[in-house]
Amino acid sequence: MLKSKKIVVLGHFGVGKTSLIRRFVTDTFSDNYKVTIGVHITKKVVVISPDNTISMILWDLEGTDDIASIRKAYLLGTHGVVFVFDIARPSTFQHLNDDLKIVSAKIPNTPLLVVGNKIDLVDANELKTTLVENSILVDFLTSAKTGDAVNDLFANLASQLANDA
Amino acid sequence: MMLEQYRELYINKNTQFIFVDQKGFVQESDQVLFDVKSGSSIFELHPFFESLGAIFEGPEEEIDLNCVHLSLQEGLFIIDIKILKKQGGLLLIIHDFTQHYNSYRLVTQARNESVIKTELTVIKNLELEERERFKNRFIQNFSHELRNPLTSIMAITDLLQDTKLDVEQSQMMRFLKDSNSNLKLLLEDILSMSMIDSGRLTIIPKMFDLVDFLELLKFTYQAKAKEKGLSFIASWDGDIPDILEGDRLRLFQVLTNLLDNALKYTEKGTVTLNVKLNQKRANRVSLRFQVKDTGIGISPEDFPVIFEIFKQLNSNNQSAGNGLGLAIA
Repeated sequence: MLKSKKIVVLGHFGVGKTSLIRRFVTDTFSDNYKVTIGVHITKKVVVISPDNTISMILWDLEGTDDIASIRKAYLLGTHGVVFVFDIARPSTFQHLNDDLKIVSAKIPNTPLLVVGNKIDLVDANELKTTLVENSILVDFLTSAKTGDAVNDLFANLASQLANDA
Repeated sequence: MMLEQYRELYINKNTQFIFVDQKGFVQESDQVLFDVKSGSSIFELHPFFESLGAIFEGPEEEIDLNCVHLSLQEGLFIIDIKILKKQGGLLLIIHDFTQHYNSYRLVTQARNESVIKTELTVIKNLELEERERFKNRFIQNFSHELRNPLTSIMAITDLLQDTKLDVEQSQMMRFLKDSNSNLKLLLEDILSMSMIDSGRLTIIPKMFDLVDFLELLKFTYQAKAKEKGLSFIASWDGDIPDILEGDRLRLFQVLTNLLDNALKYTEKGTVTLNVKLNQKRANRVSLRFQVKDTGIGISPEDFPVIFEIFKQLNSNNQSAGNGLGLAIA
């Protein structure tokens, strides 16, 4: 049975939300930063098991450094959230825990994955230090550029959503 | 009548009305922007409409969504959409603002790029400063740590020189003393360079006799030049002031670096030091120090790099130094 699930991808601007979606949906990447305004919506059908397929409707929202300002209308009917930050730009994760509280309040009782993107830009030790120093609990560390962990991230969310009613 | 025409041109041609039933099948569409066949599923038109299922289930009677990108057969539309719950289904009122949003995108693109670029530059600068601080701290500590044993070695060498030595031992003693002096100069140069780099080098102005200073240089370098079979000429304008206020030590360091360099790369001929008065105003004076030699010279393409740290144009030269002299100068 095909179930449609709306997933919103949130985060500050320039963190790579569009690139993550593009990597997941079309397995491509471009180094050219093209700003997203408003919302871009794409879809990928994911087969969880022979009798369990979900249509992931991915809402790529315009990045903002004020998460509280995201319009409620964009979030209506959301089944899952991916919150992305850029591991190489502190301004995108300095207030991460506050940002996540805002997101959880706006979209309560919804699976949420926290993703540190652009791991190709930092070395492993620096990455660990950044996460520890900023008390960040991250679900996935990805690179849209190399494709690292991108499919794992969306597969994980798809599994969570497939198990929901 | 005229306003009606304008409304038709600017409003009606940019707005499409679609009515869909509760299962998402299109009941009616005025096809102003794009074709949607009656009886087709709106969910299949674009993934955006597939999300409308959740809106049927929600309590909201009216929803406004702005700046939604729809890539359709007819092209890319950037729309504002009003969704109204009506008896038997949903009324979708779609306004095409593609042109407006494309202009807005350009502004946002420029703004975001600028913010990101600034942030990354700040991060990069902080990293570079930290690296530079570490390097300078290391060099300063390292130089200081080496100075103490070197001072002991020099003191012991002096004591040793006063003991009874045969000819061969005396020769070895001279080499040892020369090596000690070179090592001491190298350490001082490294320390100076590190202090210049970190902006901690302080110029200490004091009164000194410039002519005495030049006489000392003349005496020293005439002896050094003679050892190498060269001649050294020092000359200065008669109108340069005798007494100056300035950092004699640093002036000495710069000129000796230049003169040593000139001697090092001159195999035959003359090394010249000339000092001219550029200008004198009130109690300030500008002097021009010129060092010339008849050595191998420097080709014009090498001019940009000669003052770089650890840069030596003739690295295979046996008398080459540490590459810090000109950088300090």
